[in-house]
Amino acid sequence: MVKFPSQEWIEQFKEKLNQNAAYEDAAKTWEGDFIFLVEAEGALPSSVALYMDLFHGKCRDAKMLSSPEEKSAAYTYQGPYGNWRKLINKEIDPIQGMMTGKFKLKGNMMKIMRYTRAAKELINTASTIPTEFP
Amino acid sequence: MWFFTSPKIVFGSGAIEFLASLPTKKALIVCDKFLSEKRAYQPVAEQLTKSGAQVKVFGEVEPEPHIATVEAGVKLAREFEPDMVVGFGGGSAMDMAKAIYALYERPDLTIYDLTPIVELHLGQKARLVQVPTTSGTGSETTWATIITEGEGGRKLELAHRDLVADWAVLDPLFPGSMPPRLTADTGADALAHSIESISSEWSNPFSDALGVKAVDTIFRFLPKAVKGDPVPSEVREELHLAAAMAGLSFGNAQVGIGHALGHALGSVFHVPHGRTVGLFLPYHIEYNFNAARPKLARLGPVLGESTVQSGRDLAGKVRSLWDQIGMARTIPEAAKITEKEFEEKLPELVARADSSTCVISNARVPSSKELERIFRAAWSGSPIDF
Repeated sequence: MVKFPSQEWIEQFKEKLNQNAAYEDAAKTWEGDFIFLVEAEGALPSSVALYMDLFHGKCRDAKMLSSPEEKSAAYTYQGPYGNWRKLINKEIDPIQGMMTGKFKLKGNMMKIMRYTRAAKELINTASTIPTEFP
Repeated sequence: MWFFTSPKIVFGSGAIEFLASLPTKKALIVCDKFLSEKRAYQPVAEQLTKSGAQVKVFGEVEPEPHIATVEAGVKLAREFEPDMVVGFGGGSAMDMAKAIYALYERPDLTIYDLTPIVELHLGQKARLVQVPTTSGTGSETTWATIITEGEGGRKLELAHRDLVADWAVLDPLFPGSMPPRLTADTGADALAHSIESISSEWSNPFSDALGVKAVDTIFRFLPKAVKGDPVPSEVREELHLAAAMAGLSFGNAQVGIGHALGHALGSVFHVPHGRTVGLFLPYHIEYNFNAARPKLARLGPVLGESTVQSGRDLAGKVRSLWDQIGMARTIPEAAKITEKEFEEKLPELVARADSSTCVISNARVPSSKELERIFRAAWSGSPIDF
C-alpha cells in the first residue's frame, strides 16, 4: 500500500501508466503536462501538488512538488482531498466531477475535450494502485 | 450528484400561439436558407409580432453549420440587440441559435469556450426559444450544439447547461410537411439518441424513463410516418414529442460511440446526420450490450418481448426497423463512396471517432483498433461480436 498523496504514489502511477497499452493508444498524440492539486481538507492538513509530464502516450516525468507554486503546467486539475479519494476509488467520474464543481480544470478546454478516452484511462490506472488514504 | 436539465415545454396543436404571450421587444429568428426563402418562419414571426416584438430573421444557416456562419449571426445579433433568440428549423438551425445566443450574451468568449466545464452565466440579455420543424434532432431540449470547424469539416461537439433553451415549442404544424426520406433520417436520429443514452454510463432514472418511452413511440409510429400517405397528424405529433423526449434523455445522459462513429463518417463524406447515426446504431448496441445489459434489457417489454437476450437480438430489431423504412445498413449505401475512397479515409475516420467527446460516457472504452473494426464491419454490413 502506498500513501496518497506522496512521491511514492506518483512514482507508482507513472510506472503503471507506462505499462497501460490502452492509455498509450488513447493518448498517442497528447502533448501536455499536468499538475494535480490535492487541496487541504480533513486528514490532509496542507495542499499537495503532483506533477506529471505526459507525452505521446507515456509519462516522461512524475514527482511531488515542494509547493503548488514550484512549477507551472499546461493543465491544472484540482479539487479537495475528499473528492480525490472518491475519484481514485472510482466513485466520481473525472469529467462529471468537473461538471458538478467537485473538480476544476485550468488549461485549453477544447484540446482536452478531444482526449476524454485518455482521461478515463488515466483514472482507471490510478485506481489500480494499492492506495492508503491518511 | 448529477443534474436533470430541461427547457420549459409547450406542446400540441396551436403551441406556437404561446409566443404571443411572451413579452418581447426584439426577436431574432435563426433559420436555414430554405425556410427563409419560403418564408416558412411566418407563423413564428406573426405570433412574436402580436407580442409587440420587432422581428429580424437570420436565414443563412447551412447544413453542417460552420463557425463563419456563427460569426455572421453574432454580428447581426450585436447590431440588433434582441431580447429573444428563436431557433427555427432542424438541428442545424437550433444548434446555430444556441451558438449565436451564447456569443451574443458573452462577447468575451469564443466558440471553443462552450464546454461544460466553463462558467457561462448566460441569460443576461435574452431568452432562448427553440421551435423544431423536424422530429429527430432533439436539439430543442438539449445542451449540445454541433458546429463545423475549418475546411476539413471537423465537428465541434459543444455543450453547456446554459445552452438549454428557456422554452421549447413543439407544434405538430411544423413537421407536417416532412418528406419520407427526411422523416426516416430524423426518426433514426431520435432512436439513436434514446438507445445510446439508455446504454450510457451517465444514464439516470430520469433519462432512462424518457429514453424508454421514446423507443416505444418510435418503433410504433416511425414506419407509419415514413409510409403514410397522408401521414395522420396524431402520428406526426407522437414522433415530435418522442424526438423531444429522446433529446431530454441523451441531453442528460450523453450519447456514445454510435454518434462518435456517425459524426466522423458524416463530417468526412458529408452524409446526413440521421443516416450516419442510424447506420451505426446496431453496432453501438452490439459493442455495448454486455457492458450495459441490465439497462438495455429493459427495452424488451416495449419491443414485445419479456427481455432482450443479446446485443445481436436488439440490434436485429433495429435493423428490421431500418429495412421497413429504407435506412442504409452499410457505408456504401449511406455515403455513396467507393471502397478506395473509404480505405484512403479510414485512418482519418478512426482518428475523428477516437477524439469525439461522445465516447466520454460510452459503456465501454473503445480502442482505435476496435473503432477501425467497426468501420470495416459497417462497410460490409456484417454484425460484430467483440
